[in-house]
Amino acid sequence: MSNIVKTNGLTKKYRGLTAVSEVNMSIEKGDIYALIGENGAGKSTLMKMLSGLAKPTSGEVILFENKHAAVARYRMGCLIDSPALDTRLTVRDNLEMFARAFGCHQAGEVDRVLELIGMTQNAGKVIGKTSLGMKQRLAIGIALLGSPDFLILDEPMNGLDPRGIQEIRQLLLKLNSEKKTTILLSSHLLDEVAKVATRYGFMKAGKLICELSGEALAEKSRTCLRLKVSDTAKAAMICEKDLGTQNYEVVDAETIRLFDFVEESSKVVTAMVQGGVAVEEMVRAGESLEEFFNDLMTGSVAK
Amino acid sequence: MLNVTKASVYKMFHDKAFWICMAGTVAWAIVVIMAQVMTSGARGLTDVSQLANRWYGFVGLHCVEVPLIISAVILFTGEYRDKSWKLFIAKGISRASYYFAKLICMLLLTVIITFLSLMTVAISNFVVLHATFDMAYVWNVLQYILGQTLAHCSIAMMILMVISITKRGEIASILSLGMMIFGYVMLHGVESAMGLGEAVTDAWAFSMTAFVEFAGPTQWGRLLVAILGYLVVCSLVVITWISRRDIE
Repeated sequence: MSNIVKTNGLTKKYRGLTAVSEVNMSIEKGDIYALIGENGAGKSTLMKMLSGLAKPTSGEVILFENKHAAVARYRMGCLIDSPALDTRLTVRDNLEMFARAFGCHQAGEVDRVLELIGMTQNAGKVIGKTSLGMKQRLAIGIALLGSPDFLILDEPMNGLDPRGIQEIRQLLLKLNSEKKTTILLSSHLLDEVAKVATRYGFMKAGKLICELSGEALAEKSRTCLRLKVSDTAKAAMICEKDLGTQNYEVVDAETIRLFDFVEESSKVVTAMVQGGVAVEEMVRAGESLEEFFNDLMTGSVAK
Repeated sequence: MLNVTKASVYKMFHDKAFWICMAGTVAWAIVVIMAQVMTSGARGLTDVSQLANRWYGFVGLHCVEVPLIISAVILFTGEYRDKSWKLFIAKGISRASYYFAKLICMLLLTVIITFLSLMTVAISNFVVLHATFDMAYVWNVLQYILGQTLAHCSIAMMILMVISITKRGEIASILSLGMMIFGYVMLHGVESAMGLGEAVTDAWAFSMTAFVEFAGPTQWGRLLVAILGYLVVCSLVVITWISRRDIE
């Protein structure tokens, strides 16, 4: 597998505020990499550094294993922040203009993209008079001009209606499966992200705190009982001897996750109490990416 | 850079604002000529050739810069306002290439506006004054228009520099108009008071149009040197400015 993106100690500081701190990440060809984090976590800043809009304070970005990032960026398509479009031009004129600028103005390219984003019928509309959803679609369309090998999409589902979200999701999956397009996306719609992503990077306060594959996340976020106990060593022993399972994980000094007996929580509590372990809290957890994310942000999941 | 230039030219001609600005430029030149026609009697100006030359001088001096400032601000601040210029940069196009593409577009706009304004005068001369039409006269007029265009190219570079640095239409308009007034009124006033003649204003882009005369090629050397100087200075300032900054 070849690296599409590799960053080494990527850092961005704004007047003393560290927006991105020492990020080392790699995205391989064919990945759909989801960057997840709270507002202000540094996702957009990281994407801006990858796309050359912001200059790193320190560290380096290697794109397509090419140290000359500016050259490699010809193979990228970007949607960063809000849709940046020329509001006085029509949908078609915007595409025509950017197709010329990107050197991909061959016959049929604009029509191909219009069809991909489902805007053939609205090609003549002036951007200033279209909805946010249409602007978002067009911004994605501009990113798709010239069939880039790598797409950076910051909040691509913003402003789209449910059908639009579904269409864009299918489009991303199609591009990834048919053309092996590598995609880096960020979104706060975690359920949607979970439907497309093959790898995840979680950011908090400018740091990439956790990177996982889709399979690893499925494993980590699978349904379990999370117990806050007085003694995790003793609780682990009870799991093995009394409950007869090794399917557990000690998270920290007071938290243990048990992947069996999820539907028989009373049996677990009884075993713990009888074994002299106080159960301070027990929750059924790990059912979705959202819950995993919440746990990660509050620090109750092992990184 | 060629691709961005093609895109910028495409955008300019597909923007309704461009055609409105061009129509406004012609209308402005017509209004100015009409005002001249209506007041010429009161000022005792009756000689046709004298009137014709006066109209060229007046429009070339005063009626190209304002439409140029307005059109440039409307057409070139949009990409900063809509932040669409970041799409060029994110595609690996260097900021210097982006600037030079806009500069070429700006110079094209300058040529169009100068020709439109002065051709409006030329047509008005034939229609209103029934001026004599001979090849010597046409050649004279064309040389004058070319001289004015060269002078306005330096102005265009300064306007684009202001737009690229401020990135905001209203501020760029005020600053550009301020630079124009500064050149015509303050700078000239100060140098006159100091007994410097027109040595300083001759080098100030917004005042250069004043020394373009029907004399023809004699002033072109000065204008070309000025264009080169403004090209170097404005480009260095803008490229240094935009290269150091992150794009929000």
